[in-house]
Amino acid sequence: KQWYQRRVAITAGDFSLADGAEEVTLHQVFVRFTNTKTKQNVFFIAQADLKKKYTIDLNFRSAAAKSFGSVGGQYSVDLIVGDATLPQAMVIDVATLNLEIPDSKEPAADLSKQAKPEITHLFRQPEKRPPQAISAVFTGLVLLPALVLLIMWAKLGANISNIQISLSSIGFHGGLLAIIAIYVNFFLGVNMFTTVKCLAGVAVVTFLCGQRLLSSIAAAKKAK
Amino acid sequence: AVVSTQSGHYGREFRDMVSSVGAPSLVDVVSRLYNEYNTKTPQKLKIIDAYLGYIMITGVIQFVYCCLVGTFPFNSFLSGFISTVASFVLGVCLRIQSNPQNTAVFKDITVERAFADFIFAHCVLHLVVLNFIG
Repeated sequence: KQWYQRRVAITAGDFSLADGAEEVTLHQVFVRFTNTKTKQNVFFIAQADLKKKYTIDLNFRSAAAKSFGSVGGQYSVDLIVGDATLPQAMVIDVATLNLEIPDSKEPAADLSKQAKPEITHLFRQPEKRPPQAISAVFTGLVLLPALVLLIMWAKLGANISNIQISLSSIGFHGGLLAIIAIYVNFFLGVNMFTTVKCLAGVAVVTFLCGQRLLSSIAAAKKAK
Repeated sequence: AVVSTQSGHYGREFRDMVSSVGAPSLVDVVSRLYNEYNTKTPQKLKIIDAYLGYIMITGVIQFVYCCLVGTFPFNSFLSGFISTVASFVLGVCLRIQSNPQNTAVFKDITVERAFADFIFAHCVLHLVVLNFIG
């Protein structure tokens, strides 16, 4: 049947307990059109007016394009009723209609169930680094002044002839070398906790030996 | 007594130089500075000065490298450069405190104590630098 400007009037009154003829308003009253071929659903909410009569206002001319997507064919009409007071919602098969929509279109392909286009993740490009050669050259360049320093110290006559082989001297110098070794280890990847733990012990030893050594040197200088 | 003799000696020579050739030229001043430095500075201070020069050159090279290739691992550049700057500062402190001309200013700090402070500060500095260099 072709319905153009027809109001569907449905009275929902069959669910009261008292005598079966009283009209009630319920929370959820929907009218569902299901296309029997594509199984696509179109829902309309039925509103109740003051006289407790439910209507859905279907202007088929506009609804054909907007709600039905201009897809004609056989539709089954169901009434879905739900409410807080009902123990279970009810789906009542009302009718089966044949909608002939002018300029009927083929049902659009359902895109939601197909795979979306693939996204390839773009990892962060690493920052531009200078070529290895330049870095190597500058590493050598930075270490070069150390050689120059040693040469200048030799020219100035810096010497360690005054060193005394005592316990504190060995402890102090050994402690300093141990600290340097701990730092090299730290640079190579040992974490800070281990480093500080090792450092604590070595630092105490180095400090005590250093203090003793330097005081003895100072005392010797004073005595001179 | 040593200090006053030095300044008096310097003043007489300076007056001689000025009276003989008019205003002293830059070359004269620099060469005189160089001579004074070589003769009057104790050997220990010269050793420290050589060390300071080395530190400064290393810092300059690091800075030039950063200017050339950009600051990508900025923390590495900062830690290296600040390491040289801080080492330079500590070296200057050591030099000031071990200069025998300054014993009046640093009454309680012996040269050995200055050196001990120097070593300790360097240990802390290098720990922090190695942590920051990444």
